[in-house]
Amino acid sequence: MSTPAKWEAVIGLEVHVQLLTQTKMFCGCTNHYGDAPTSHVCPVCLGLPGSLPVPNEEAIRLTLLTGLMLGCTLAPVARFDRKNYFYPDMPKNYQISQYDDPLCAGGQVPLDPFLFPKEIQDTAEAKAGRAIRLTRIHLEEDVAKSFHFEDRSGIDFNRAGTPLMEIVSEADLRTPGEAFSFLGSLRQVLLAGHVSHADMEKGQMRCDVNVSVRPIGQKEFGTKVELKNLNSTSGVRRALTYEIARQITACEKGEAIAHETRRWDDEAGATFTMRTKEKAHDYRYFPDPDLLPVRTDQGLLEAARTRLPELPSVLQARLIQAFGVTAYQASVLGADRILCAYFEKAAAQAKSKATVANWILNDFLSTQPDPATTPILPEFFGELADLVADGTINSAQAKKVFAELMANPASPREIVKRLGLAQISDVSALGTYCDEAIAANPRSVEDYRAGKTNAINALKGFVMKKSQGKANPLQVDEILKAKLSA
Amino acid sequence: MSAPQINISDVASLARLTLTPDETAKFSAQLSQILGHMETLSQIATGAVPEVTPPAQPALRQDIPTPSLSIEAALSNAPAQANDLILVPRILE
Repeated sequence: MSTPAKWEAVIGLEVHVQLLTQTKMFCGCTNHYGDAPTSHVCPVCLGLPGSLPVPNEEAIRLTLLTGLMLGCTLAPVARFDRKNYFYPDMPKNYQISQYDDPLCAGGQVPLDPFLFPKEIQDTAEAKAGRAIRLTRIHLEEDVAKSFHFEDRSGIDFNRAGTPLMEIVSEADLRTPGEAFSFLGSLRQVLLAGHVSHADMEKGQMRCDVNVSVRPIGQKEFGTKVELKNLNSTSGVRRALTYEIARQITACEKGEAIAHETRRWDDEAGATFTMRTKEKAHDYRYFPDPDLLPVRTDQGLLEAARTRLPELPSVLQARLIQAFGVTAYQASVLGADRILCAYFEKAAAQAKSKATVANWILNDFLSTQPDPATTPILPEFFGELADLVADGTINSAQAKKVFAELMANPASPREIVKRLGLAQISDVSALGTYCDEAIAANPRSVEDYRAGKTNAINALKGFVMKKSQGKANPLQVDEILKAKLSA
Repeated sequence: MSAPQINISDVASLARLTLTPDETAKFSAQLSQILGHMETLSQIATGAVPEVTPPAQPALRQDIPTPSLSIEAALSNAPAQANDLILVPRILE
């Protein structure tokens, strides 16, 4: 038995999500990345005097849709506030955000056990089926992108003013693995609703982490540390693993944890002090006088409701129930809606739907296909599974058909004809092969009869070779056993 | 009732303002007076007054792109620029 751990971590996440809109949050400039610097700016997003913001209704709908998908309470009236601070990437010297009356409050993210890191998916931690409560979801504007040169910084305002949704969790997470699954599970929901591409490595989803440690059983939280510069879900996990160990070591030595912001350095595999918070930030929030309260109950909420997708948990349950796939397969299919639609088409008419899942997830996926454009019709996999199920071909032949299907896409039935692969199930023909095998391998026959049952494999091999792999292996087994014990 | 005190140097530093001692004294008194007015207002019992719901939806914008400024126009007032970026003193982390 291992010694029970004396410490536990308390983790809360703040996740920023870029929304899939055509235009910015408060002006009609294009919301698109990778274009020439300073090419998507106007007086509003440059904060020029006299310009006025007008909210993008699509950004509000997408935030409400996210709230619906995550079971939040949606505000009938929401307000925008100014968050005041000075930084060159924010031209107005305030960020329009939401403080007292965010669009969404509460809600939760259920942790998908298969979105935990692979090596801990079998542990109680992953299987616990926890749901992490959310505090709120609000809508704000993103800041510009900065580039740092030797003696100056350069600012590209294309990103300034683009819609940014902030999802704040309660301090419910206890392990780096849970934080990893939280981000993956949240991403699946965002993808299902077409709210965002939510790719952390592309900055479409960004995450700040608050973490503290406390002795197990203690109710009060320890001093929390904020972690920044986390650019991937695995980075979040690594940073948390490091930081929790650092804090426990310090606590065991009796050192105080400083309330500070630390920067994760992925290469060094460590966190470093960024700035000590001498006092809490004073953002002097106040209601933005340029923006009237938004009534979500006048059409916006209804519009969001009509877009509710099948949620990942519902989709997975349906796949397991209707197609007999495993929970793991359901999670893989659920994570890729295009692949999932491909599978559903493939399995629709097939007799053994679970076999179709095996073909697609094991064999087809390993060829790294693009299910949206592949010339291989999904129905072909249903046909292939049926050919094996009804005994037309054996599984070894099916592998050949699959290889040919990838090389020269055609109906598996045609491929079977073309390659002359149909399995021999004719009892008299198989009997002849078996007689030949027995006559040609007297030693194996003797061994088998002496009790070495494995010796039958040599005879089976002979038959398969003679029949050029076309013999039905199950029938060969039966016939050989019958003849040998006669 | 005495007017609430305000830490004027704190507010000034948040606003990046440098005040002379005279200004500090003057603004402290003025802002304390304003806060005093707010305190008077907050003494009014409003518990029974229903919150005013905004009567109508404010103007919202459809998600349709409109033309942006040209890069030249956008950069025309920038004190320093390079590679179509606006240059600022180096941001320290």
